[in-house]
Amino acid sequence: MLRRRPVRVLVSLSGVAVVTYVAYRLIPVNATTVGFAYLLLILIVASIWGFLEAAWSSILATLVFNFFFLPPVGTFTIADPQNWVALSSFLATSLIASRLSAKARARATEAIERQRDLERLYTFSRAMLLSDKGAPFAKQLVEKLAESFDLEGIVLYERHTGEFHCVGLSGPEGMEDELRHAALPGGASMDARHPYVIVGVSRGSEPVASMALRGATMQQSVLQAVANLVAIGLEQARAQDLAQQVEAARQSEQLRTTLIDAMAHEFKTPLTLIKAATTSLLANPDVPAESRKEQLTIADEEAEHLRELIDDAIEMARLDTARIEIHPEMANLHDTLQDVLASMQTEIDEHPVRITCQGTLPAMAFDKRLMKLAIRQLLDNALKYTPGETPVEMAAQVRDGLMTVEVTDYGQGIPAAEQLRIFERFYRSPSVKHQIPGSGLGLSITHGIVRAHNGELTLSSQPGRTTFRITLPVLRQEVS
Amino acid sequence: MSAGRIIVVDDQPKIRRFMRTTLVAEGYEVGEAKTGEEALERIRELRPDLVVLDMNMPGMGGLAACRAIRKDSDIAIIMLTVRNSEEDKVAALDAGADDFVTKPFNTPELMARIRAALRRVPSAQSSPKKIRVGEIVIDFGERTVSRENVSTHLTPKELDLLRYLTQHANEVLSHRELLQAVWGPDYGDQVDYLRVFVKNLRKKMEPNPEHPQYITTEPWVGYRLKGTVESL
Repeated sequence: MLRRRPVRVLVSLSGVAVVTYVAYRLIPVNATTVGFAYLLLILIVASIWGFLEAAWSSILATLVFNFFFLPPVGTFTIADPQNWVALSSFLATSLIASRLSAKARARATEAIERQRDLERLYTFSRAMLLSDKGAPFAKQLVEKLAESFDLEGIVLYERHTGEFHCVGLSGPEGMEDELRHAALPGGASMDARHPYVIVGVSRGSEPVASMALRGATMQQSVLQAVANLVAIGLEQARAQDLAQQVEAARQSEQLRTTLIDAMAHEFKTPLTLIKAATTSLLANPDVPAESRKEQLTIADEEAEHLRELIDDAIEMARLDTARIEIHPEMANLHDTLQDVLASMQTEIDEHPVRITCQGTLPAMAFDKRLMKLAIRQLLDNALKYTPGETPVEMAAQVRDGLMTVEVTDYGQGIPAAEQLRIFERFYRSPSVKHQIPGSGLGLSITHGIVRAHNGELTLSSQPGRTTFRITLPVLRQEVS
Repeated sequence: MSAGRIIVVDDQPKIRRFMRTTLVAEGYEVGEAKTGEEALERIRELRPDLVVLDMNMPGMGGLAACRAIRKDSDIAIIMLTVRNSEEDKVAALDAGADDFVTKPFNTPELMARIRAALRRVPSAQSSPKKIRVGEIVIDFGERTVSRENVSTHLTPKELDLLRYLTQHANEVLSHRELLQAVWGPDYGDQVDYLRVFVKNLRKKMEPNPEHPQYITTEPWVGYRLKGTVESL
């Protein structure tokens, strides 16, 4: 209620009446004391509410002072000319004092407002920096802005996307054209259209957006600062988007080239053999039956090998390691290992490969197809990175609710520095990169598959012995 | 009698097995090696006439193996490359290979390349063992070229190329003619080969290989050996 000026004036005047009543009726005092009491009241009014209230109080106080306390009492006439001086001094003093005190108050209020604006700007800039990467930035920006400055509503128009982002409003409310105009070169000016303030947002001399703010009480300079912050935020978000796009493009380009490289290398061996066998047969139709059969067998086997490689490559390219979906089914781990072994006879070649299973392995639930792919990758690596006749061991066991599969080779080992990065997508050891074909996808995919099963893929390696270990919790509830 | 002794170097056992069967059927004696390191050992033991060397192998790799073989031997080297790129071709020839074949290859073509690499430009009966061109002395018996008393060894194909050039000194020889004379009748379009071999020859005999005074380039046509050839 005290917010309204007439009420405050009334209250101030009542204050004067109360002082008069007390001094005249309750505690009779002399005129000087009453004068000081009025002065004190006026100072208080001035410092709390301002000059106008104090001025009205001063005039009333002068009148009642004259009427009740200056002889002849009970009239507005003044007998003694000295009292004229006293009365005018009182009026002048009270007016000047209230003016000064009101000014001081206004300054203090302004300082507090400035500080509040600064705090809000700071809150807003901090909120902008801490924006959630997942949600659209402009939307977050207007929400944070409305929150920080207690605004009733905001419309933000982004020039490069042509989108309107609203908060606290159902839509741009017919301000589309004005906002578009404000976001044009030369159109960026501050414009008040009650109840909105429209402001252009530009980076340097280039307009990037415009805003309409509803319920904005901030000063021009603060508004400009907000506009600058918004410009910076939008620009930063755009740069981030761009960087993300570039990164995504780079990743997909890398995937493409590594797959092509891997294909070029891995596919060429079977292809070479098929081509060599068929061209040889075509050139010499008269070769003995035995030799002919051998060459046809080579072509046939290698065509099969090629088919497997292509299936694998398609699978690898399709699997997004971040989102692998598993479809567990009941399977026997030992059989799975045997299947893997059988499918890799070509790669195994001269390597002695041994499977050891501790105890009998119960049937368990896991995604058979993906787990085979994962184990194949580990075995393939063990074979690929170790010399011809080096043995490779595979071991499986189930104990304490955990199933483990280990693939151990006796090659030169993996340097400690590389062990940290080996599960990264596309990472390939610099020491073998140019000699042994590979895509840098195998281990990252294996890792992804194992994680999708809530398991762990670990590695222990020293010169002469490297073991990759898959550990999975046994899903007992699936056992039927 | 065997048509020649060949070592097949490839890390893929199936490819080795296929090559062995095919080459034995053609009458060659065949040795095998899985890596570049093993190949070097095998070459010392078996003293082959030719090595078929895979470019991509674990260990030292095909190119390093080729350079190592070339360092102390003149045997013919055919490199098997996976990519049919200019870069790989030049790298193979630069490393000292006489020829290269891209996988997957055509078996009869590979056999033809092997025959071509094993074949040598016959020296005419009357052709001298040692000649001088300007300040350069070429010793066909020792397979060396010397300038200012510094003698450098030549690989067989380099020697063949140089022999053909000196036999036709001061004549413009087309790329095709040179290729067919040195590598064989199946060749003619492999200008890269000449470029690499001429570059190597210039390095060995020209005082300033950037501005050759003996083996000059005839733009778009071929090469010419300039100078008077005298028998020694």
